[in-house]
Amino acid sequence: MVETLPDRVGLGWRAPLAADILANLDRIEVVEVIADDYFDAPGRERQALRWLGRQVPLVLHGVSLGLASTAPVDPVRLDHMARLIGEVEPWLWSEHLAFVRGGGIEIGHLAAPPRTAATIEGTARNLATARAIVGSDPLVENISTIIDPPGSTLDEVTWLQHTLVATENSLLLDLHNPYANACNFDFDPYEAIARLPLERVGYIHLAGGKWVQATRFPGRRLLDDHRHATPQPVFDLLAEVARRTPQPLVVILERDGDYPPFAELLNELDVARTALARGRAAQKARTDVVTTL
Amino acid sequence: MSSYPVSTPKPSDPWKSVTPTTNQATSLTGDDAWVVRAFVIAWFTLLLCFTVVIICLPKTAFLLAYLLACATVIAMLYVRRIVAEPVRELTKFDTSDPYRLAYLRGGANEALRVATAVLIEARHLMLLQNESSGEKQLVTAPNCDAKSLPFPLERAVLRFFTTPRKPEEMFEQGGLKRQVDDLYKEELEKAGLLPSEAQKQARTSRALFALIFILVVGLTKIGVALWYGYTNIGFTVIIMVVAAIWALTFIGDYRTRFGNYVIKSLESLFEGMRAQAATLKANASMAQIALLAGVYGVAALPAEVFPEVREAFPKAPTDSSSCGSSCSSSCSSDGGSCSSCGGGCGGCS
Repeated sequence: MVETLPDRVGLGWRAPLAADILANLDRIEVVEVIADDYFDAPGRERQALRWLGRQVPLVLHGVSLGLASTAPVDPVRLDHMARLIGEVEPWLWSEHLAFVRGGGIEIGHLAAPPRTAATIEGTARNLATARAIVGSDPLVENISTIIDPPGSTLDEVTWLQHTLVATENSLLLDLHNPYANACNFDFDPYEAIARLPLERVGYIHLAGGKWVQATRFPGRRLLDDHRHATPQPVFDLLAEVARRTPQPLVVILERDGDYPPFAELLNELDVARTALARGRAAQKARTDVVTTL
Repeated sequence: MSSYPVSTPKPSDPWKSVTPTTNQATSLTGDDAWVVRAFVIAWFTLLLCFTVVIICLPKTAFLLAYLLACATVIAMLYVRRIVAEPVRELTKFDTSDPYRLAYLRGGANEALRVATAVLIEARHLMLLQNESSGEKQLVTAPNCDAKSLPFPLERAVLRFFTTPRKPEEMFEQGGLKRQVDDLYKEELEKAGLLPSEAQKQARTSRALFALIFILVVGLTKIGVALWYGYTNIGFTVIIMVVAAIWALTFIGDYRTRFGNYVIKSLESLFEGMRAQAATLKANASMAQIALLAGVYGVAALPAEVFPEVREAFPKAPTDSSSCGSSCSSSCSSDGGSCSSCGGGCGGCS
């Protein structure tokens, strides 16, 4: 018998939100912790993280591996991640499909890699290394960009499709990123999502951003800064993903600053639940129609 | 089959709520009683032999041997505690009630102190000051509806201060403390975070064995020295007193090692928020303030930002980490004297 697990909705763990999260665990079903913050942390803090993982399902999220690159991933960082995962025993771990360093230079930003066959090959190699060192596969996250990566020969979705074909990793689908990219580069985010292998989506990120005036090129860009409320079109995309996917989804709301009253964040989680329910209901209605026919 | 994308090496489901099991106390069955008796007889025989041998040693050799023996006995107490009170499989612990955390950290007094502080901050309690005598009293705010408060402890404190009273009085009132114990004690004992009665007895027995050894050897040597007219017994007295006090700290109802683990984890998780305590009043919710006080104590609320709270509790305990196995009698004065650090530093009666 196939056990059907419910969708889960949760929040990114940040120090200023810690007390409110722990006081509202009845409404937060999963938390996501930035793994890199704990790579050099004393044992006591890692022990605390392990304890947190027993209070609520915990996901470790990496930000510095730089997997989407032709340069090999740093084995020392992977070793840090492996040790942390061994100690904390999280539910899942994830990392961005981003380019963060090259030629010994840290760019300090999760940049989109050039979308080429070479970076797909490099990413697949790095993910294989990650699996070998850590012992499990990370979920890999699509990223946003305000410029088209120089040297790209593929569009974003094609690059993602090919990368997922070349690997066995599941997808951490950040829904604000295709929304922001769609705004910035004028494409339909629904169409982009429809082209993705949605059966490989493990969990989902929601976030908000702001419009910024570009200085080196004309027009303005939607910046994925995680400091604003999730816009309604992103919730609509969530409903669309829920409609298209059969597997249970884990949804994490990301917030990295300008924290509103916690009730507002809880309200955003409720809106996400409503969107999920809407999508599931539409899926069920469609299934019922097909069955009837 | 779970269809979740579990990718970690141990994809278990450990976050599911685990019903607290009964705290496995170190009680003995009848079959084990002979083992205990044999252990006691052997222990006293060895003690006698060792005392005879050790007091025959010359001065410096005796001091060294006594020091090493005391250190070994204390080390054995630590080892025994680690064996007897293992950190169990981490279970789910309800963190929504800050007063439960405060109780775990410091007992009934600490839970009462944190609840009162939160109620003062929420304007449900008012601090009155007699201008002539300087005496401070707390009273429930006129329009406060106790029934609307979520935690039973808050409602109990509000009822207690219906008539103006000094804050210290709530620590003296057996009724209020008993209510707090009824709310949290049994639950925390069952979860293995506070010691059961049997565990407390076992701790006391172990500490008494150690104490007997330390005192018998030390006092015998001192007696023999004085008998022969020697008065240079200072080092022996110092070693004996320090070791005896150290052994005594193992007696009492402070948290289990598992309880310490939970408290230290919470302290670690809230460290970032504690660093921002000064800005809490302007930005934070009452839940944040309550949890900060619950985990670190009222002293974590800066006096300049929370002046009324600190006026009500000017000598609030500052740190929970000083409690536990090395707890001394340095409890705050608001609850009277503290004999053995019962219930952590909140055990003052």
